[in-house]
Amino acid sequence: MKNKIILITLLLFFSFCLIVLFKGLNNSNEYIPENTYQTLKEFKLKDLYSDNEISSDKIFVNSDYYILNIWASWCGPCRKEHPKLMELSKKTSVKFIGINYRDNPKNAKNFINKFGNPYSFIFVDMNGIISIELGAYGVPETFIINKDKKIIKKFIGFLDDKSFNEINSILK
Amino acid sequence: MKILKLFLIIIIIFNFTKINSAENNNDLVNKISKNIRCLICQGQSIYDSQSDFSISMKLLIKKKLEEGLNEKEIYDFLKDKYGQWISYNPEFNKKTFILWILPILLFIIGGAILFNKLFVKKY
Amino acid sequence: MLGSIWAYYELGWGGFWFWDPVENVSLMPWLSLTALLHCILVLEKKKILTSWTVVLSMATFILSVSGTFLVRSGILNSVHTFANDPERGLFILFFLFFLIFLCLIVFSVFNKKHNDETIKINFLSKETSILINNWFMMYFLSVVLIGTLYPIFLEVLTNEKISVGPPFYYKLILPFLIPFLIFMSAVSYLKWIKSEFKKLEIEIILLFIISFLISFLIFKKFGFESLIIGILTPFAFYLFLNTIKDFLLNKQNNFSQKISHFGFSFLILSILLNSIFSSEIITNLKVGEKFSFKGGTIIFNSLKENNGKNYKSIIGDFEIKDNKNGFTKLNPELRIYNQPLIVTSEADIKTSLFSDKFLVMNSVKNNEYFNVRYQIKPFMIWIWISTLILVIGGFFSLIKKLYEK
Repeated sequence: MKNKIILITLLLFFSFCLIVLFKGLNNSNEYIPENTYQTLKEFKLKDLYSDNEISSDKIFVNSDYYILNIWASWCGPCRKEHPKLMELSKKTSVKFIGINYRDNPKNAKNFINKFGNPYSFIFVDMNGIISIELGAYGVPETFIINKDKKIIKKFIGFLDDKSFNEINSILK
Repeated sequence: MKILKLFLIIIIIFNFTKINSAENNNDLVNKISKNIRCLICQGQSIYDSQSDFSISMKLLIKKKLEEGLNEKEIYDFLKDKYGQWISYNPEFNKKTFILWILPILLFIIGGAILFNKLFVKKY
Repeated sequence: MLGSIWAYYELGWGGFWFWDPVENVSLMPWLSLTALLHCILVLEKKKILTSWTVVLSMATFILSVSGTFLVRSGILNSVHTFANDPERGLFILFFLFFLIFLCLIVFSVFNKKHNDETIKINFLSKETSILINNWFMMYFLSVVLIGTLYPIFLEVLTNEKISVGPPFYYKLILPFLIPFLIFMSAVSYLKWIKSEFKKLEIEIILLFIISFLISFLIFKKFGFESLIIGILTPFAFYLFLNTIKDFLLNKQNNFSQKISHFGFSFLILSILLNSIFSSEIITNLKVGEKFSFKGGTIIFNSLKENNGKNYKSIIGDFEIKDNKNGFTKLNPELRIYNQPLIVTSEADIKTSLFSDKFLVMNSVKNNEYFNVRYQIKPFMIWIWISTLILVIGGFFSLIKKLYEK
């Protein structure tokens, strides 16, 4: 009798494991931490065009929303999403702010000259630390920030049509 | 037993003459980096990885150390920003106590079974 | 072991064990296999522990198959997962659990109640030591198993992702290694416990003092980072000296045990000493620059370009000058493959009997600088050699069994 109980317990236990592992297989491997929705902390970085160090507090003013886009001239997906960014910047009145990530300033300026400038201001993050402190993993990443400087949405990676529609609906 | 007492005495004396090496910031960065996961890699620590993210993270850690944060504060800062997943050292909380307790529990149960087998007389 | 060698020499990761899920998964069958092997040694003399031996055999096989599942299905996030095929994973999963259920049923149907209980096991005997070995082995196995599987279970049940890495394994394994080493040392004294204890006492104390003395000298010069390492090292030395003494003095004929236990103690000792004495220098250098550190100087002489069959390579010409004015030439390589475009970094390792010198370079974006990682890793080669000895010992015991039949 004792053996039967042990056997049934073991069978139940392994069935449970089977179900868990089965569900585990179907889980995606992507990871987006939940603590991304915080207030934007003040940072100081150099301006791409004037080489002066400016505080973010001076730039994140006078707009209902801000779109913060982290990009680099060497980043393929950034190039891909750039035309859409240009389009969006012309359509809406919100402020676009760029952070040039671990890039060569000359290449960055060439990129802007060639493909257009959607940003009202471009910061230069040479070693990538400020971007990391914002919670970014790499490029491209886009944040939507409201007028209280709260990060309300974060897009990791290239902005596809679905993401742009989402941005549009938030900005309305 | 006499030998056991002798062992214990030697161990205690030994402990009092230990020297702990001081760690400079660079060593600390390496030590912390080994315990932080590179979020865009498949299972590497930022110490092992050469990706942009890892390099930036290592610089960030160095900066925080220079700002005066200690090791635990840096781990807390990173976990706060990126979630628990970034740290290779699982916390001991409601959700993870099973992780830590279960092996020890099994050890004790195993010990109990052994004790039963060896010392309890069976007729 | 082969995987560790590959990671160290070919991939240039500067280490040999990372507690990566795939590594853990290959370690687990070995742990249960070791326990099984010890059980079989008992089984040949007395007919006890038969059920447990059967359980261990099933467990070893099941662990190997579950290893296949964990690695090939993409359920784990690891450096080693290349094939992320959930469909194949499903197949292996069902096969695995089919096996488990089959084993459970077979075991419950065919297991006869042996007269285990009536044979009293003498407390201070070989059988007890085997039982204790199994006890600790099962503990180590459960640590690795739970550490590897828990994140999966947690994520499915609570949607929370955690990482379980080296700190977890070290915290749970190292403290238990200390009594384990003590028990292993005690094993060689078992037969004599009753009779010639007085003679033994002197031996035990002498070896003990020597172990602590050596450790003390080491720590005095180098320091160490944790209490556990501090206690672990003298006991590792103690076991090591014990196994050597067994070899030279004791007349018992368990040759394979002597070899394996010697290999094991040597392995633990090599790993400990390697981790205490390893040092690393990381710096950024341009061609022609030097970097001085406590043990010497790294000189970045030049770069050479080479064209291989499907890659272009940039070879760094480095020289390490040590404090005794000896020079070591190291040539790490950066390979740029063109189809697809991948850059790999090949470390250059100079192995010697007592220490390895390891150098790897990586290009720093947008810069003429190279990130240079130089490591001194003592006793690396002993880690491989001692593992080999360990395995040979186990091999011998198997061959002996077959021969005796």
